[in-house]
This record gives sequence, structure tokens and C-alpha cells, in this order.
Amino acid sequence: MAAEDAIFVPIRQLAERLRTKQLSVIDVVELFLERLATLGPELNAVVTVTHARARRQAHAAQAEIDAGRYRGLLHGVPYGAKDLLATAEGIPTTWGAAPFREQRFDYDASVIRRLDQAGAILVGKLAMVELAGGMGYRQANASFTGPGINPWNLQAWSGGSSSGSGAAVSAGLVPFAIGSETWGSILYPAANCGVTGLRPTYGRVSRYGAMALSWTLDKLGPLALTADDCGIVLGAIAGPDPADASSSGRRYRYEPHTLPRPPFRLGVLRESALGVQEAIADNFRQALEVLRPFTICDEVALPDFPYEAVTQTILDAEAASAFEDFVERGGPAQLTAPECRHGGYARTMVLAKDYLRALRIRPHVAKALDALLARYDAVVAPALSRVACPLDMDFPTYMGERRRDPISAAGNVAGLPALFLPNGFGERGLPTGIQFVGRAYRENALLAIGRTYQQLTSWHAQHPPDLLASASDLAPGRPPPVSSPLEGIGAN
Amino acid sequence: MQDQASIPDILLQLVAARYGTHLSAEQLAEVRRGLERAEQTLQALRAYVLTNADEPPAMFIPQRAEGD
Repeated sequence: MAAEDAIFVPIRQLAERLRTKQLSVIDVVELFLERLATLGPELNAVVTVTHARARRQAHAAQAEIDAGRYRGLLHGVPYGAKDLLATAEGIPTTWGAAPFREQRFDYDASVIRRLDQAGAILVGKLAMVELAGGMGYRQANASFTGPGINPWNLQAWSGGSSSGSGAAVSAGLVPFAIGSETWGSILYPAANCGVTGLRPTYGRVSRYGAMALSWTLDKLGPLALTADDCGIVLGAIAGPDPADASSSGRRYRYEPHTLPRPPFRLGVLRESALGVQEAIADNFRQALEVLRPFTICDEVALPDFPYEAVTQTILDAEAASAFEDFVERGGPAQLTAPECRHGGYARTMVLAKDYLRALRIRPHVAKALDALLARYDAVVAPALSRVACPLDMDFPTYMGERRRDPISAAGNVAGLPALFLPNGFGERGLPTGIQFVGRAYRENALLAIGRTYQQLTSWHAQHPPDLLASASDLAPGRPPPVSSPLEGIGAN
Repeated sequence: MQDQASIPDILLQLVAARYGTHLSAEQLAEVRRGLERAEQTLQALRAYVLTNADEPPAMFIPQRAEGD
């Protein structure tokens, strides 16, 4: 079997090929290192290819497998990490921002360490929106590595803010990636790039060693080919961590045979398919139809709360504090996006009483959503209202209005898990997606629904044409940097 | 009490006093737009009724070194 047989292969199958030595860990790692080095820059998806670390880990993994010391499904499997996760060994951790491009840490983030322990192999640090969008970006060109390019349409955005994580999985540059979500940053790249993304419950995965944007909203999770892949990765990275006071003491296990079984109870979010692009509405209805024999559906509405105001105020206040020193010394002037050079200053004016007000509303939000979700395995809605934004258009112009999806604000402010699945294609040949938001700590219900859907459909098994053949044609197609600071906000 | 519409201007003066050396006039105009948007956001927040008993979730954990 050739190493190329590792591309676009779900983790469980890839693991079996590695365990049984049909594939060599060393060959597979070399293949993905090469793909990251050659295709990664064409998609602006990679910051650093971690050659030395990956090769050392690959040889160690192969030796262990040869000796019969098999660690589990991630042993020898390459992956990429959003470049906000600290890595030792002199590997830069740039936070996607020019002022931090030489930043180095002398330790690994807990997520990296846990994946190490599982035998996974870090092959690259993946591109992201600068400071995970913490300075308020409004267009795609908001990273020192350039705008994230969508593998399905090279004139469309891949993000954000985990742009590289979405694009790298979609283009087969890594079998899976780690991203982060404060408000939409796993959802957007998963939906835009047509891959599966899992936003775990807040506190499920340690944030230790991850850039802080908003301490009470930040979450780390996988982007991968399938829901099963996401479960496997979550099983490796979840769990309590004394280094992160917010990490939950609840243990997590992902075992397919113990997952909830159909029928699943779904709350279909009322009017969620209104105002979305026609193909997105069609694909959403078709996805529900596919799931119909396995589900009991009700129409539901979110309890009435100012979700976006609460989430935005918490994010603004915490980001202003997290980046206070950077803003005080005028650091934003060195950022790529013009709007990010001034976007952090308004946030410094959030009053303590307003921040506390948002925090005081938050338990009411969490309680009301838990009461709703206690009746369902998931609330379901289209992932996004529009396919990926063109690279040369600002988000507010493309989106038409400033409104953000309230289910995303609600899910993030309440710390709820969500699963994002590809469910077809829409305008300009770009993927569309569906999202399932679940009760806190019930990721396995979402994964069970996702596995069922992906057993019935093949959207997750469709991949963009391999870019190797056309890599030389890509550069002329790139748009010029976008420079107009306009209204609106991107995902964090 | 200040007219709501003037709050962004008052906050902008604070931004200019504190960070003015980092910002051009054009950027300050953008900051003002951001302050206007924030004020609209906060109006939605303030419309939600809370009582004295509504506390923010507490994260602080009193520390005691082991062995002491």
C-alpha cells in the first residue's frame, strides 16, 4: 500500500493500516509533511511545518508499533494544530499575528501533550486569523500568512478564525486538526471548508498553553473528516487538568458501542432556514429528511435572551483585558488587517458593571437552554446562512447585515457542545453545513447523530480536487490584499 | 444624566486621552463607530431585568498551600 493511501482516510481506517503495518508511520508522516510544505502555502493554511519534531516522533511511533506497544487509534497519526497552541522545541507560536511571529514557548500546551501521549504526530502549526480575531476583523486578509484560501474555491475564504485548520483538513494536508472557538471559530472553517468540526463543552478540554482571547468563552476542539474522527480526538484531549482551573472534573470516554442509539430527539430551530441562501435551506431540509427515520423532530424556539449582547460584552471585556499590555504599547499598529489596528481600542471602554451584568445574565441563559435541551439530543439548524465569503469582499457587505446567528451566541455563552457536518454544496461550488447543539457534556449524543448521518450520506467523503496538479496556477488567481475597514465582525 | 447619544463621544475622549498617540484621526473615527455599536449592544443588555440576588458565576478559589 502506498503512503498516498493515507490521504482523505478517516482515522479509524488509517490507524488500522498503521497498526497492521500496511502503511509505515514514517512514510505517512513524510507524505503529510510534503503536502503541508507544498500545498499549505498555496492555501495560506500553514505557519510552520514541524519537520524535526514530526520525524523524531514518527521514528519513535514506528519503533513502538513494531515492538507491539500500540497506544491506540491515534498512534502514528499526523495532525496539525492551530498556531495559538504553545509548542516547545523552538517551534514558533505566532497567534497568527506579525508582532508575535518570533514568539516561542518552552512548553507544550496540554492538548499537544495529550496528543503526544496518544502517539499522534504534530506535523504543522496551522494558520489562523490574527489573535483569533481578538481585534475585530471584518474581511479575510487578517493574518500575517495572508487570507485563508478555501480548497473548494480558491477565490473564497476558508475561515475563520481556525482558517488553516479547516483548509488543511479539507485539502488532505492533515488527517485532523485542532482548532479553537470563542464564538464561531470552529463552526465557520468547518462549514466553509466542508469538514466535520466539534466544539466541546466549555471546560471539557484544557486551555492550558492556548492563547487566551476570552477565558470564559474559549474552547479547543477537533476538525476532521468524520464525526467518528472527532470523537476519537476528543477522547484523547478531554479531561481534567490542574493547570487549567476551568477544566471540568468530568471524565470523557468515546466508545462507539456505548453511544446513544436512535431514535434521536431533535429540536429543529424555528425559522432557522429563513433568510439563508436557497441551497443552504434546501440542503438543510434534505438532511432532516435523511435523518427522519432515525429521529423524532419538534419545532423549537430559543428562549428569549439578548444572546449576542451578552456574548459580545463578555468577549469584548475579556479580550480587552487579555490583550491590555499589547494594546497599551500600540501593538495593533503592526497587525495585518487595517481594522484590527484600531479595533481593540473601543473594547477598552467596556465598563466593569456592564461586563458583570453580562455575567449575571449568563446563568439565566444557561439554565433556560439546559431546560430546553433536556428534552432533546440536539437542537439543529443550518451551520451558516451563507457559503464562504469571497476573498475580495468584506463580511458586512456579503452578509448583508450585522446580525449573527443567535444559536452560535447562545451555544458559546452557555458553553454548550456543537457538532458541524457538511451536508451538500451551494453557491460557487462551496460546501454547506448543518449544526447540532447539545446539552452540556453530551458530546456523545451529537457524535451519535453525526455518525448516523454520515453512514447515510457521503458529503463528508467528498474532497476538493488535489491541488498538487494545479498548484502552479494558483498564485496568479490570488486576490490583492483587501484594505477597506468596514462594518461587521468575524468569528472568534 | 448624559444623553445616550453623547456617550460614544465621551468614551472617545477617554480613548484619545489614553491611546491617542497610537491612533490617527481616521482610526479614531473608526473607534467612535465601534463605541456606537457597543452602546447599542449594551442597551440590549441593560434591558434584561436582574435582581439583587443575581450573582455572576464565581471562579475565584481561595488558596491554601498544602501542609500549612
